[in-house]
Amino acid sequence: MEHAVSLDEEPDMKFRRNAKIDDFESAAMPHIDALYRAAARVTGDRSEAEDLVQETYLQAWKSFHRFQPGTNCRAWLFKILFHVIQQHRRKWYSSRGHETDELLEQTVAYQPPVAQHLKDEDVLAAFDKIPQQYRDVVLLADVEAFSYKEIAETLSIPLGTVMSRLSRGRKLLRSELAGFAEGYGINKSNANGGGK
Amino acid sequence: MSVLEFEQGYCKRIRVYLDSYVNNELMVETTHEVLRHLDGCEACAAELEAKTRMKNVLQNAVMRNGASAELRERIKHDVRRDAAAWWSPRTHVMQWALAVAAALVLFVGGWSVLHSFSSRGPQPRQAEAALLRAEIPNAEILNIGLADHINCAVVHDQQDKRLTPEQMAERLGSDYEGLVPIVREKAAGFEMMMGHRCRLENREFVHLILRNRDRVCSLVITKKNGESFPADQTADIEQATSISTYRARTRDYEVVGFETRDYLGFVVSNLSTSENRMLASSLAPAVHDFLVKLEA
Repeated sequence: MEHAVSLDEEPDMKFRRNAKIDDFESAAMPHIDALYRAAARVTGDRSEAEDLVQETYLQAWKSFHRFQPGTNCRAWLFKILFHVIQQHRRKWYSSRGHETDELLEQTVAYQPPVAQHLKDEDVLAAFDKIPQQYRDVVLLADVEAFSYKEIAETLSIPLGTVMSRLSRGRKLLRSELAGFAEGYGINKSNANGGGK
Repeated sequence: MSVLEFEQGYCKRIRVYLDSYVNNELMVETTHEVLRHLDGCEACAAELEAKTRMKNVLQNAVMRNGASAELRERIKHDVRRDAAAWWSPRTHVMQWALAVAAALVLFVGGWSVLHSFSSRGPQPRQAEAALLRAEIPNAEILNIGLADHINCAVVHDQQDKRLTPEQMAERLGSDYEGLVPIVREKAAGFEMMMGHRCRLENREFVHLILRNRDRVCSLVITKKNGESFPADQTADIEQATSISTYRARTRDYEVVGFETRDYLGFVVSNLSTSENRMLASSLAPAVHDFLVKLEA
């Protein structure tokens, strides 16, 4: 049987290869936590999130020659991540069928039990109930602090859609949290109130 | 219009801006307009505070999770392996060799086509098998199963053929026909397309192909020819099932291997790592038991 023994490389070739790997790792690896967090929230599954991030980095490495140093590497990686996520969603939907928006909207009506404090798991549980298209935008805007323009480019949607989904997504999250948000003052103002 | 109604209408207008204000996305003039209003409107200021607080609460909750050290290592390993494959002299030599081979194929195309029609089944692809070996360092044994999956299911399109259970039983022979109901039961969500015996590089395989749309999976079994999974590959050993399994990933394929006294078994697919692992954890123990009974 043939063995996978690597041949001796020319020193120059080895140097160039290692330099390129170093460039990639120093530019891309600092963002792995952000990518993983986003993938985990989008999929709701740690193992699947790891697969998505792994695939994202491999695709990023393969197209690293197209990345322009000095531009926003984080935004570039997120665009690849959401492209990978989109591909996986297509596979997932085609094999299992997908929930309609109506069904997802119904789940938002679920009221969580009253809690004294907003625990992280409560917040995440509420966030996971938001329909995916709103969740993506809220995640990118509120957690990862991307600009509207960057979100529009990452998700390939118009700027106006980013704004409307962010507004709607925040309302849905607030509605989810309403049952136990009083203690933290999140819902203390009346949405219909106003006036001096 | 009363003063109060006027102010409520103005609040409504300002609140439309609040989401963008929180994200610092407003024009300078509009920002000033919002700030002026917030100075004198407690209700809108409270609404802004609520929005900001909710954003912070969400940010804090999500930020607590980070990537594992294992994932970082997996990614670095992927990058180095891919870099080695593309930059190594072997690859360049192989690319040239493939280019020359392609030219030769063009020259002798007619002759090759005629003879390929007369051939009686899948032929070994030495160059392809060599590439596969290079892709999984320290896991060459897994390439035995991977190579048969690529050669038979993918290259020779056996993944697109569909046999009845009776036809599969006939092609597998009396020793292995019992695998058909086992695999059908354990591979929920997949359709069994093919069960047959095939040959690659003078090695015989029992090969069952499963499919779910574009997801293709092979159960590949072959008799040992002196091979055994190395004991020092602890990183690739999974103990989630009742038997030890070994896994590796190429760019496009995921492989899980297991063994009995006389057999090597492989679950090879284009699924993700977690999906293939899940499928293998269902298939491998049952197939392992079947093979052990066969050995008795």
